[in-house]
Amino acid sequence: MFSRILASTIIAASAATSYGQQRPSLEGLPEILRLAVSRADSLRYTGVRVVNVRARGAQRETVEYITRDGDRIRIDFPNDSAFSGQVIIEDPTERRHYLPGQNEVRVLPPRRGESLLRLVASLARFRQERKVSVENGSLIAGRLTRLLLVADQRGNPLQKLYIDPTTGAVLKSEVYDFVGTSVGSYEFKSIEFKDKIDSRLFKVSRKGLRTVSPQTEANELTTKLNLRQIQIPREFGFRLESARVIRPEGEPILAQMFSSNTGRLTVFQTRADLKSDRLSKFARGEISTRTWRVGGINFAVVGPKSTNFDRVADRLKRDLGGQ
Amino acid sequence: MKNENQLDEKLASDSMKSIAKLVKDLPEEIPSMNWRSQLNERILAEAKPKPKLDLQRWLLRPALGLGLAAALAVAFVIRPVASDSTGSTVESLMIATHQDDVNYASVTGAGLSVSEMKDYSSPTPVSDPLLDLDVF
Repeated sequence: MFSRILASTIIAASAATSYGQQRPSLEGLPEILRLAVSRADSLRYTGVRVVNVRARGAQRETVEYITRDGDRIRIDFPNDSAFSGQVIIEDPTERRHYLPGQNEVRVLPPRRGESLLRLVASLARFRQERKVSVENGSLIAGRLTRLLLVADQRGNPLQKLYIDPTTGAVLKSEVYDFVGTSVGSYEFKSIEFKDKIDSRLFKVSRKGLRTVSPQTEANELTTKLNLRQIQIPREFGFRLESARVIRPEGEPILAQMFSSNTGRLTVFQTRADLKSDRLSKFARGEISTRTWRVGGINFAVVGPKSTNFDRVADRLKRDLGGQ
Repeated sequence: MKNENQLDEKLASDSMKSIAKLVKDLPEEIPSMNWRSQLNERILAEAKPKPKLDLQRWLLRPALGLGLAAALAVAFVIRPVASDSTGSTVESLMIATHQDDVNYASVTGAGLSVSEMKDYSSPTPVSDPLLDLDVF
């Protein structure tokens, strides 16, 4: 768990520096990474990629059909997928997730820029603690790649990017924890670069479609569970991404995930027992935690170590009547 | 005094003398030794025996008390760590949830997030089979 915390911290901490700046400084970065970042918003292609993520011991694999037109992206899923029929369309302002089964569209903050920009921000912040090297990569989706290897000072890999040197497309990405186990990866199995993409692909029109925002979802859950509504004031730059119950079989715990320029944080509330020292122990000082109790409800905020986190936690605690 | 004289007269009457003689002639019954022995045995059996010093109980009673007190303490004072069916504590579950979210976002980018993977994994028929192009 410690290694996963460390990996997350690096990712989160890196985001806390300059994610959100649309164009972080590329000075001093390897040419191949500069190419990838500079072309990120102008690539046009269709392709199939396999995403693998590991969470609490369980491996999850999804196949995605990607259609990309510069800063717009559409994701479909194969017919035999558990997500068949769903469509995700994202542009720089929002992410729309269509769920035809429920005749719903979920409107969320955009996420596409996170992975590459987080890496650049991380390299800028941890310049002394990171080793970056470039070597020949393997053949990915029929294209010979260059491998950008990001490692710690001892040479342990933290992230590997396989970049097409002709187009700058990142065809494969792997993130590692501090014992060298892959936290997650994606890899294109096929890709076809295009001169033009039909813009109608980025519009979905369905009559009677219900628009659901994460806030709607959060409000429904807080009412159902008799918990408190959480609002992080706009001035902090956090947007609610999702709200869900993570412990349905016991005393429920409502988790609300927020993202911002300064990283991602999660606000929890539950009537279950919550020990502040135990939460800190699991965080191992690598990520910030804050807890308080009001009216029989225990609140916890977990996020990256940053002054903004402290400000948000202080504000939430004050707004909810914590002492 | 008058009454006493009347009573003496009645006792001295012939009828009372005959009753007195009758009672005097009744045979005297001596309690059977056998019956007495049985009575003694019953008395002994039902009598509470004098308590003896039971060393084993004397030692075990405080231990039992302490055990009971400890069990009550665990149940009511030292509340056990709340955990879900997988054995995770509330606190470890919170940290793991946050980390999964951060890790997924860093890997998947615009792809499905951890919450979307869990919440929306129900396939939807893509199209009406009658409109499947392969039919024509």
